[in-house]
Amino acid sequence: MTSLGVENLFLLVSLAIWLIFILACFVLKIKNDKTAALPALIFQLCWIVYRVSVVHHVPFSGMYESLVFFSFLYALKVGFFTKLSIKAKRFLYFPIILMLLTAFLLSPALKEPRALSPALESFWIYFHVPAFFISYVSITIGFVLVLLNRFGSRSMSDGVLLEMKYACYFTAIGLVTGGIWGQQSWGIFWNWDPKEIGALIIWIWTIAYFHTKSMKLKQLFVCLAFLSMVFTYFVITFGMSGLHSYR
Amino acid sequence: MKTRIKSAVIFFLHLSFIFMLIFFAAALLHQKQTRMTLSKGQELPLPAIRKDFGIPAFFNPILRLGNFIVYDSKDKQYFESDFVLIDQKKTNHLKLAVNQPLDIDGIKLYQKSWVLEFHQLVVSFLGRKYNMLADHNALCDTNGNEFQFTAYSVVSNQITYQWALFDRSGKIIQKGDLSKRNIPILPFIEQNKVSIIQEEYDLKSVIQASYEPYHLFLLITAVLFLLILGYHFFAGMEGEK
Repeated sequence: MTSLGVENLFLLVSLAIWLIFILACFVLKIKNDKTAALPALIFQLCWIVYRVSVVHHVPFSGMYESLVFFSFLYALKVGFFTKLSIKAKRFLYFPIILMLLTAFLLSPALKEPRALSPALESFWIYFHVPAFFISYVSITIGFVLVLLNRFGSRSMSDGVLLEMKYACYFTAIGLVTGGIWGQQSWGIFWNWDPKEIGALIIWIWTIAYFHTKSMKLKQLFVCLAFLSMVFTYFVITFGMSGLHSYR
Repeated sequence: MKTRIKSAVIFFLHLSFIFMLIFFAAALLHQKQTRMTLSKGQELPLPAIRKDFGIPAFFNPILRLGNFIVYDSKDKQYFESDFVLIDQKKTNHLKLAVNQPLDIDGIKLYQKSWVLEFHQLVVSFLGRKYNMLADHNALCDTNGNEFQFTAYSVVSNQITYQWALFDRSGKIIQKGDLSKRNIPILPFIEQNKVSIIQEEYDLKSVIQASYEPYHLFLLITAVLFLLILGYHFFAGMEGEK
């Protein structure tokens, strides 16, 4: 079996487990979601470990790798570090399916192992990229909670507040570490690159969240942060060329 | 008491943010940059760069590009310049690579990229010599199949070309790699031999020299801002105004 075949197998198995698990959350009355989510997480972790052994670098250098890494971080946080009821959490698990499915359906050319470009061979890759993904995870959770708040009966504002704190702080860390790294590798800390501007816009929405008292405006800013995140992560990567176009 | 601390943290958070913005603008506006391409053995014109940036020279060392290594293949990518710094008293060897800038008396040097400059590339094809720089894409066998090749990868400064034989409809009949040391055997070509007989090129290092007077202040204020923001969010403070 080729390395891509093994990766696809890990992805499909984890995808199948997540699908069964989410269905079970709605149909059956599962009390301990951590135990149920663990097998899927293990398969995602297997994918990460296997991919690292194939490419010999961090598992988030392109869209394919970063999607699985993003879904792993997201699943880990929702499953083990979010204090919410299973009724709310079952909706939070949905984005994992979307992320894994997108990663699986990407063209084989984008999945091919590639050497890291010299600019990416840096100590800062271990801080800058994960910082943004932690922030993206929080923004996604915040967005789902806002939707639950809007269309459900329970208030999720405390959960959203905490997630927006993480989003704001880790986006700031991503921007600062990115500036230091950019200065070191490109000789300039700010290039007005589409992805840099996208990250700045996300940060502005998270700051705006803390500077308003209106609940409706807060929810609007969370939605805007999420839309900016989707635009920065997907649209800029595939639709625009720039220094950060790592596909 | 708790409210006072909270107010003080919020005040310092905003103050550090304002300072960060000021130094961000100052660093962007006052940064001076120049880019140059150097061949092996060539000197970096430090006095001219200083004059261009308008900064005084305390000492003027000679900085010469001793060696430049390029590795650009599917498996590995790096390029680095080895500089020889000749001071009044001693000689030092300094390595400049991507993510490893050099600081020479206030001037920062960055390894930006590299360029490949051909001087000569002569290929023997079916017993005839072809100057590839002049007769590009003019290689055909007796059946009218077209032979093409392009620079493909550079491993330790040695170029490997990718060759392909196209039929008249533009379909690839055969393809492979070719370097000066590696002669491919193409059985359907009459004389069975294609080789590089003359190959002269220069791999040049592209370097950026920068003067960054406010960068340290920007870094300090940015780190300070992150610390205060972290304290404000996660050390028992409320995140909202």
